[in-house]
Amino acid sequence: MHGVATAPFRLDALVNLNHPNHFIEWGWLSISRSNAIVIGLMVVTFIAAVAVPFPGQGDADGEEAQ
Amino acid sequence: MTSTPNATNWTGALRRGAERALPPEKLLPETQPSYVASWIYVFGALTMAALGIIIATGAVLAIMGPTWWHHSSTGHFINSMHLWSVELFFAFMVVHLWGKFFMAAWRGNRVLTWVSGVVTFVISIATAFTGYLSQTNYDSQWIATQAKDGINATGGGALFNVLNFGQMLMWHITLLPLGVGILVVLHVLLVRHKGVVPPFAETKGGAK
Amino acid sequence: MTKAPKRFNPDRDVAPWTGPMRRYDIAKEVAICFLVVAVLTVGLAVVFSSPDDQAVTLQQWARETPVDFATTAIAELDGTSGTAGYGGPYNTASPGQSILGVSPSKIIGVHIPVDAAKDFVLSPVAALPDHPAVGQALLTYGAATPSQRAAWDAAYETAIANPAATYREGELVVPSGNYGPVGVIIDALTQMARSGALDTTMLTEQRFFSTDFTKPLLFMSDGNYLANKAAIDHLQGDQWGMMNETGSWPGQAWLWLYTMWYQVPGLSTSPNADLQVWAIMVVLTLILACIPIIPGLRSIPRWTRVYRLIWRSHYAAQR
Repeated sequence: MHGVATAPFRLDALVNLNHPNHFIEWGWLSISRSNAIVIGLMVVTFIAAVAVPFPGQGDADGEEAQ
Repeated sequence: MTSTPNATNWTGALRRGAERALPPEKLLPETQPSYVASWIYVFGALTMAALGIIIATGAVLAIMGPTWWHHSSTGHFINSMHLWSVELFFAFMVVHLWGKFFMAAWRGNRVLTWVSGVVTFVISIATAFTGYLSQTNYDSQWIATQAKDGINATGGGALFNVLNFGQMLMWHITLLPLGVGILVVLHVLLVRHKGVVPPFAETKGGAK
Repeated sequence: MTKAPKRFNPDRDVAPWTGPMRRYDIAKEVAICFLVVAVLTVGLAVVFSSPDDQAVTLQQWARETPVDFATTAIAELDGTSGTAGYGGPYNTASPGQSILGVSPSKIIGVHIPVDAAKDFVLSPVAALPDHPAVGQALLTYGAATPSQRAAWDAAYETAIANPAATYREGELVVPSGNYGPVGVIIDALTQMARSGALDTTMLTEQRFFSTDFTKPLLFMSDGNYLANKAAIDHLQGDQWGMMNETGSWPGQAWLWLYTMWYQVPGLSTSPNADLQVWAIMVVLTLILACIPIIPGLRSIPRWTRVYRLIWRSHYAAQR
């Protein structure tokens, strides 16, 4: 059977990704939508990691440095 | 009974060297410098957690063999976990790298920590690559027949034959994970030994 | 003579911390991270699963596109296929790619010998039992002079390239011509592939165990079947294929820089592209590793001041 074949007893995914991807193209640049989402999420995560306050600021109770 | 150090005893010298480099309170401290207060610091641990899941799911795949996942729904699910933990591993690792870059974390004789991190990154890419070759499906066939040209051009193809499934599988499940594991342990021990890099000293008008 | 102390360089040096410490539970942090990542992994696996496009067999290739199969087979026989003209590590037909006048694959030489005509066509067909006509064709071909063989090969190559060439009722149908025993040989190979026997024969070479798919993969990659399937999913080299995945799953985003060079005009059409891209990536990786000792590059963190966000509670406490 040509074309995309799947394992016969696969646990069905809630979101079916078993079809050709969409591509974001701009001149010679081309990125799949899924890769763009992954990279976008990484950038957002990095920005959040440096911007979102970290809890427990009051723990610096002046203990002697080791 | 106390004993004076024996200068010719390798075991004692090894132990004393290890104790000097990493006394227990440094290896497993209950405090951190007060500047370790940002979510970015969590990404090293997240990367290692993802590595743990990769190894655990990889172990299950190894127990059942390399074609199990094609005809078992449980196997396919474990394979899915293996794939997604790899995606998370690289995502967390790169965010960790970006953080360490912007902190200039190599300062204060921490160059080896940075270098060991880069080497871990490179070996991880090689490990993932051999993983894709080990899938025993169309993707493996395509990646192998494409990648061979790059590797052959360097002369490396004479030893590292990406079309040889058995060889690639063995690199993927033994040699390369061992490399990643050793580098990660070295990297973490270096961080514990040197401590987390202090901030730039601020003066009016910018960092000194 | 004592060494003069190094001048303090803020991009290289930092004073050891003598300030306050805070309570921090690393073990708890790692345990929580493990749980978080485990939940994320299970969630992603449940929601998205993973791709599994079934492997292509020689049988599939020969059944679905028999003319492409036969076209590849004759190219292997007459030495015009990609593998036949590859060079190291398979053969000496080409000097291989070079950079700055050096060709590493030529220097290293042949370590995985592949004789395209013999390994992909003549030996598998010779393994067919009980086919007197095929046996005779092989004898005739083997006894002929090289120029006679070349003439037969070229005639068959022209015939199979004819738009009228097709597969009908169990055999290849090509315009008539003087191709001697070549038609019988290629036909036998095609039948063998369509039966499934060629997959096993080419892999095991009449031993039992093998895990080395070099020959079946090289043979298949000389045809168009694999590549045509790859084009649909944007997996080809000039489609940023190295970072893409079958279906709509994310691929290997971390290979973005490696694959980017294959899209750059000049490099993309260079006959030494693979070696040139490797060299670029080795240099860039070395630069990444050496950032701590490269002035300018190692100053970027201080200039961009992202650290002001990361350590803002520290700087606030200092004020």
